Amino acid sequence: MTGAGTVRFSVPALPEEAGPVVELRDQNLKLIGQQQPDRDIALDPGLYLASVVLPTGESEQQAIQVKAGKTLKVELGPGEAALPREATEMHAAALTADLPTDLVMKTGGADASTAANEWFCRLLRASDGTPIDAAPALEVIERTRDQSAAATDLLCIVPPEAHGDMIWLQVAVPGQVPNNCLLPILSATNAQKCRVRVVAATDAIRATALPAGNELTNSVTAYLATGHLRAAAHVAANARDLLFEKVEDPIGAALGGYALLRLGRIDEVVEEWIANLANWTPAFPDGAVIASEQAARKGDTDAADRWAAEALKRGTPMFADGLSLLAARLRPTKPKRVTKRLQRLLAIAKLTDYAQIVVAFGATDPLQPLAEPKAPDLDPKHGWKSYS
Amino acid sequence: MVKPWIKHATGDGPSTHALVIGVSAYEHLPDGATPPAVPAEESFGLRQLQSAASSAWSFAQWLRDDYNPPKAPLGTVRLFLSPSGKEHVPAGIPAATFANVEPAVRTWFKEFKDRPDDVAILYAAGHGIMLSKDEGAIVLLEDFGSPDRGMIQNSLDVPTVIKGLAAKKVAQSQFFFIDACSVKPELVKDMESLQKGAGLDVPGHNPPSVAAIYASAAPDTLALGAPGKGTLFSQALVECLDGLAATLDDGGGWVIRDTSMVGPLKDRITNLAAEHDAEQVPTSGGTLGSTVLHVLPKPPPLEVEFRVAPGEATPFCFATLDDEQGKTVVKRSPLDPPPLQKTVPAGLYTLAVAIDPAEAKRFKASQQICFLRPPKPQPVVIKVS
Repeated sequence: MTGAGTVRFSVPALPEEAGPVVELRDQNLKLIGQQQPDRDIALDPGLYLASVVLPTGESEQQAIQVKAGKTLKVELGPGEAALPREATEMHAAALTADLPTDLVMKTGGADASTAANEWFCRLLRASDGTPIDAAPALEVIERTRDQSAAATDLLCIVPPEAHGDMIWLQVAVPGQVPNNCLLPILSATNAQKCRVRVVAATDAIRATALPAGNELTNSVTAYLATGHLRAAAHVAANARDLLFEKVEDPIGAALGGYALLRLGRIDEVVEEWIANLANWTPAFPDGAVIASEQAARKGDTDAADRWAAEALKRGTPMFADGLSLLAARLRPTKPKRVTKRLQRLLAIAKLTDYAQIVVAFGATDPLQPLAEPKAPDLDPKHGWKSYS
Repeated sequence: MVKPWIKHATGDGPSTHALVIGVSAYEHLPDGATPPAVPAEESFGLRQLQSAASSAWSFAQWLRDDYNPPKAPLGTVRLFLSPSGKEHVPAGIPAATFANVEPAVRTWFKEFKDRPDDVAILYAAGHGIMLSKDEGAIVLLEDFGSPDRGMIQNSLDVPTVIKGLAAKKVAQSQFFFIDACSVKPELVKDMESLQKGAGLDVPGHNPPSVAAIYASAAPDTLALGAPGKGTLFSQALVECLDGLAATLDDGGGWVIRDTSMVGPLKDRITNLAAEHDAEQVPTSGGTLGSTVLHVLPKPPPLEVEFRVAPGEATPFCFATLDDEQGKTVVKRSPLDPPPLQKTVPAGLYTLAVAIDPAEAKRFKASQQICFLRPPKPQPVVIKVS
């Protein structure tokens, strides 16, 4: 390439394992290709457009002028110095996208909601509904409040009493049916932390939770929460060795797996690695769901059915994608009696808010989704803790 | 057998085949043509709708007038509408009854069941029982609640349609738009299995390349609409197809992909619902493949704001906007009062700001290149100090 110039991109907000994330186009907006940051790229002199989708959901783009014989360094997104703040903003953006405040509130007229002065929460073991002491597990990070809603962000760490079980977070305001969401944490793995957002008005309350794992998990999560499925799948495919072969973070692996499933790219992951994800985390239904869907896409219906049955045995999938895929696979196509376990799963599938990443729905008891919903007794003796 | 509303001759090449259904008027619900066959508590407390049929009509018109796929031109559109008295749709469109829709599902399927390069589109609007985001909904047809059939059987069984289309030889690009006013799930909580509505009997076992499912109301939320004007979902959908969800293809053209619809459709519906002081949360499911659904004939128009920094320079600044070919799109325009707002096609531009009078020496003329893209570009701020 005679008379070429050189460009080197850097994207500090994304880990190296995310792969070639910079989209490069010429001045006619024709695609040149996807470029790997921190590598020298030779380009003919001229005008180009470089862009990258950041995990906050924002798209950063720069027009660059390449000159013959010159090297240009282009930084996209926030720089290294701004990264600690960027990580906080990324988590906040993901939580806001997953559970917008105004989703919970009626904003106008006589029915306008008012922010709750006090709300309640408790943790329940997913296998048997036993309350767990929430105090050591939940730490308030930030509170925001306006007339209509109070939003509280918390950091959650796996409580010791989890004993390998998945955990329901149940939140309530007096007189209302509680909201329940599964926490994206797994004891005995590296997935020990998550961020929780609770939005509370006097007449409604909702909660969501997103994993707070390694950089890769956080990036994939944020892309999914902000609706950038293609970016999530791109990162998951590029980082598949780290995500799936080593299973350093099974929750990050599961989210990456769902992104790849959604884009029909799960065959880019070795079948054995998906089986490892399912086998190494027996308390985690989502691994089995992904294994079932991978088998189905390979045409192995027997394996798909076996993994689906295994997923059902393990319980409610942690993520809404997993619940949706499992319900679609297991729902009978003709009227017939179903087991209580499947009945419960299909009931949760009907109640769940699929706009959230984790499984979340309103019910007095998440283990009894078919029961008549009613406001619970918020006495501390039932495990409830008050927040104001 | 009802004939398709549109049937184009497309030769041996791939085609698009659409089934579009909109039900506002329900014969057996209160205020329907026939007194309710069952009490309100057994018909889930449902009422007549005011906008589902006009929503379906709006989408059908978009298919007829604007749909521009990359490879599979519009072949057939099967259209069934049951409008309310407040809706204006053409006369002569067959009603969305079970007797009409059930055979139409089968003949629609036959158009593309051995043609993997074809495109299949299903749009259904009406009362619905939402299932998961990978199943869609059971959409209730006009004669739902009829005494001569089971409660749910006069319905469109979207889940069995999706399963029935899961085969290698069937059209591999499938798009499902489910615009359903959702029945409260506690009223149908005992309904675990599907109930033999209009659908496809034989489930396939090979998921297609693309089976994108866009639903207007997740379980336990309601689909909203302006009476006679169409639902918020259909309004947002057409806006997205017309450019809000546009993205660049490899050649620099503007297209709508299955993946590019996800964020803008969700955001637009949420915003429209907020304008109505309500909430509506759409979902997207199924398998997406970054497939191009529609090619825009030209770059989508965007509303853009232009400002200068520092703000005190504004009275002295004049902006000119040239496109990537050097053609002036916005002639020298004052930036005072701020912001300067213009509607321009999406694309790459050079923004030049001149300072006048020249004696405003503390500020300097400046130029920058900016890329303006959907859905809503950030305000363009250019420094002049």
